Amino acid sequence: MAVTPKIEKAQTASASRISAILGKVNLPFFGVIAALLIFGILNLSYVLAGSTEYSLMRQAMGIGLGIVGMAVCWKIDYRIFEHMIIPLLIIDVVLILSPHLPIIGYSAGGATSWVKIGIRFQPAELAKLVTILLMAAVVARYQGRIDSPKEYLKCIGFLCVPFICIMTQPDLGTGLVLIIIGATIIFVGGANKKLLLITIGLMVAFIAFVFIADPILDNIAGKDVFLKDYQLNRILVFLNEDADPTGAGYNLKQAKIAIGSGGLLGKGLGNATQSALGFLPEAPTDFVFCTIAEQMGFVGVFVLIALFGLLLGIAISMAMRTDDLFGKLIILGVVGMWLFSIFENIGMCCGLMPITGIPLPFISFGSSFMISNFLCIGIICSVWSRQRADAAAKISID
Amino acid sequence: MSPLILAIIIFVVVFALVLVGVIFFVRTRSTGGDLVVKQSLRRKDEIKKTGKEPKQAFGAEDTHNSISRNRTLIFGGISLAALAVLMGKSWALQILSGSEYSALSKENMTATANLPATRGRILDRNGVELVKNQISRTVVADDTVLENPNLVHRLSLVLGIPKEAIRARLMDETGGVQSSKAIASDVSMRAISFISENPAVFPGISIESRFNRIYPNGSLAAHVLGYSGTISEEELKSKVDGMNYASGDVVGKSGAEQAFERLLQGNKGTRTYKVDSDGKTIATLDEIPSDPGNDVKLTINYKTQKAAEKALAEGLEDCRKRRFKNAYCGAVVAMDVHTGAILAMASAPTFNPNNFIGGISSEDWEKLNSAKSNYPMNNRAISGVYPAASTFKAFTGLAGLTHKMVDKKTEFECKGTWVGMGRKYPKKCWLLTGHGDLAIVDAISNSCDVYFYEIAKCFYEIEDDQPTALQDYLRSWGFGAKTGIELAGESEGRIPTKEWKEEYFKDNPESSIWLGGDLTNLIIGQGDVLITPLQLACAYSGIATGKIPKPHIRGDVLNKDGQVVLPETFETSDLSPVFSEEDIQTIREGLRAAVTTGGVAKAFQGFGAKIAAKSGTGETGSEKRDDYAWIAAYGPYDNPKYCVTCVIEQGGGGTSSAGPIARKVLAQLLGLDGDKTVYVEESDER
Repeated sequence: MAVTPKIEKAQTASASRISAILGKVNLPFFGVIAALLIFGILNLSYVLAGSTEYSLMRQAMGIGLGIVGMAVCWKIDYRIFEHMIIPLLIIDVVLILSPHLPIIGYSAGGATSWVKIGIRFQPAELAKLVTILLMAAVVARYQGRIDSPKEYLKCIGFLCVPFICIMTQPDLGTGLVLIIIGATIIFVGGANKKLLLITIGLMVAFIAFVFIADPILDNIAGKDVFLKDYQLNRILVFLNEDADPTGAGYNLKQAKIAIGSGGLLGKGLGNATQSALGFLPEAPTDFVFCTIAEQMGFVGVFVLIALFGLLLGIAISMAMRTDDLFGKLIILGVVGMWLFSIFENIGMCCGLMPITGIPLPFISFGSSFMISNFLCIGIICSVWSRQRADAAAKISID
Repeated sequence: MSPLILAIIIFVVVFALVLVGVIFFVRTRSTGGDLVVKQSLRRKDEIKKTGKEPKQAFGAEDTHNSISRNRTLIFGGISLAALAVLMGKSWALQILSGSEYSALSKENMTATANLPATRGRILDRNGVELVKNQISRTVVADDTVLENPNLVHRLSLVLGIPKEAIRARLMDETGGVQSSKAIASDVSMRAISFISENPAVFPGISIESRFNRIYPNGSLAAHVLGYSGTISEEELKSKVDGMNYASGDVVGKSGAEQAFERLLQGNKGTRTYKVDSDGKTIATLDEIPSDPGNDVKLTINYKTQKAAEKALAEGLEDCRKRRFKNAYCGAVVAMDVHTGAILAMASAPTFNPNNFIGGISSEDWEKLNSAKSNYPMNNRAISGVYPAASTFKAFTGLAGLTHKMVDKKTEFECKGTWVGMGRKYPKKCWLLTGHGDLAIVDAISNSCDVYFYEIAKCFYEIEDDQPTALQDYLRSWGFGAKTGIELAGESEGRIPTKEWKEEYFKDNPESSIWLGGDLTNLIIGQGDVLITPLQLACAYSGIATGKIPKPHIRGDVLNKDGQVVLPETFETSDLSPVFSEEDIQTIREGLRAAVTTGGVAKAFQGFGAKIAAKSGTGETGSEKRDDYAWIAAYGPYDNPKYCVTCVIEQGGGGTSSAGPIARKVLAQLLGLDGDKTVYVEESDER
């Protein structure tokens, strides 16, 4: 009889410890990520069947390494980055420019985006995460209000550094991701409405200018000076897929056929003729969405987009419940990156967006991208767990 | 796993996760662990206590967060909208345009190839094969062979074909890209067994049985059967209604092969393949078998045809043995007098349609189309035109009777020379000593020219009122117009008139004047008149029966099971010459008398059946060229069944040169197997 309360106490203690740990972990967030990974692996297992170029093992290794990286990031207190603006900026620039280094640098597909140290990876993927931390640290200093143009321009200046670096590769897709990350953080970080509107206006004018001026400049210089021709083609082809029927237009046309022919229920797993017979290029990587749409139909697409919706929704709700501005901006920077990647990748498959090489988070084949995403999850968890701990501490003080 | 089950599983997983999430939220809320929840609880407590909204915000954090909180909500809205746009676009592609893209996807991954249809056979009236298909073992290569130079080299050694030739055949894409390519046909058994016993050495090579056109009787009935060959570019371009030709198809080029092309061709099958983006075949998806062409029976009787060709060849040889060294060409037509069915149609010289199989060399083609070889491809029975000569007297005589210029009893005196058109224009009878007084029956049987000159004179006298009375009458018997037989290349012949002559000789005004002499020439079938052996056969059938038949060569058409799908058609000719029964009987008597006592008698001595016949000797108007020998005969006389006409170019006299040929053919037709042909010594004859 005397022992019983002790046991009860021990049980309560362990229960509260479990609940304390659980309190620091957002289970739905992990549930959705797990669902996306299962979905992606399931799809790839059929898409990669018979392929010699890609293997499912490599993807699994990417996930494994990602989980390790995530654990490391989770362990690190994100707040140490808040005052490391200059080191972050240097790391960012070094990462992005590393493919230009003589021995380890590596070019493929018209862009110098790879580094080879034993294994081949894209440092720009890591640079995305560093840029998120950098921009969040810069913007967080203004305490949620960026009213003066000077402050605003300072923020934009910090964003421009990695962007200009990435355009030397050149990698327009990643450049756009960086801009979206920065824009999201600056927007949520309390930038003045007027300043935002002026910026948008200037960007629209700039893009229009580029498209008009680039062919003229090319003409004058006699070579591609600003944007490469293939980049311009890829950008413009989504407006008219017949403009380049053998190159980018062919890809878009085949992508649309793959999606459209899936219908409501799809052709069934393993019956993706468009990708299996080689009509669809880059099926496991850039055009992975097409393989899902082709095999599983609109039902599969619905589930996929719903999962992405849940992922973003949960992450946004986590940001909402984070009191620390720096942590909140980090989470939203990641969400912005994911949202843009999803919209750009699926959008380019459907013909809504220009064709760039941005993969679909958690679904596309590719280790660098997968690891980078897991590091982002780790950072989000680092923010979330510490916020939960602080909140719990505050409540107990109350 | 079906996509539906997969979708359900994924849905269940997603909803389970959402459920877990909701429970988690509820739990954290109940423990009050969330700062925001805590704040709102405190706010609610405050409202409950004071009854109004608290003035002071709770906690220092929410002042700097008020902007970012709004902005985060806006950002959430943007996210939602972006995902909704993607969902909408997918809906549009997959549900609204799904069927359209499905079709494009199918189009992407499928390719079709034609399956050749076996061409129908051509049979004689009793079912004897005149044209058939022969199985030929063909070495077939798939599309991987071209990329394998070692294999091409091996094939070259085994088959004895140059490497370049094999490569050219492999690269030929006329049969559709997916079609396997035939690289050699009629391959030796040794090569076949070597290839089939060593499949590992010959990857992508298979032995197939394919069909080649074959003419088992060689040149027999070559002109009637015609020949077949690979479709030409022009033929492919001029699209024939209802025919689905592809490059490389075998089509009829002449004769029955060409005339009955639609019946013989059949319908191609198709095989649908699954292909990848490089066009490589992955699997066969579907196959619609081909529908073989119909067998076409001809009205030709194999035995009659054989007899006719033999008789023609022997007759020509006989002519050449005598003094007619240039007798190489001729034609024979044997016809059913009632139906117009062609029982035999021979033309000399001839050719062997087997030479066209697999393409004819240009050297051989030149040979077949040169003056030196006498154009063996020409079917002289329908396209050859010759002066009708005395065979015409049956019709010109009937013309005189019908126009009441003479009757059966009318007699004229033949002195050998006739000056009816004036002393300045004397005309000779072939028998220069003259026939004496004779009526029309004897005039026909002895082929007296003078008697007919008298009739010509009568026509000349009415020329002002009826300028073409004689010509019109001859036309009403089918001369000067095509008979309408199914075979291509038929000639019209020519019945000269005043208008024709003026037009024809317009550059030479002296020759263009229409004279009485033109009529006297026409009436004995000489001069400018030209007829074909087929026209003459039809017209003599008309004499025999009183009704001119329309000639035809197609009998029943049979499907692959031997059922008649299109029976032989008996069309009546639209020719209806005017004559009285009495007058035509007079002509028949004349033709009969020619055999019994007259000019043709020598050729039919001891013949076992009663027949009627008329010979003719066409003047060529040239010293260098010998006369054209003619005969037209029908029998039995009392109950006519068959008509035979024969012409020998530069064969000399009709009775001696053409007569024996007609006799042999008639003997075959009438079942007189033991009949001994009498070769007549040449004499003055017509």
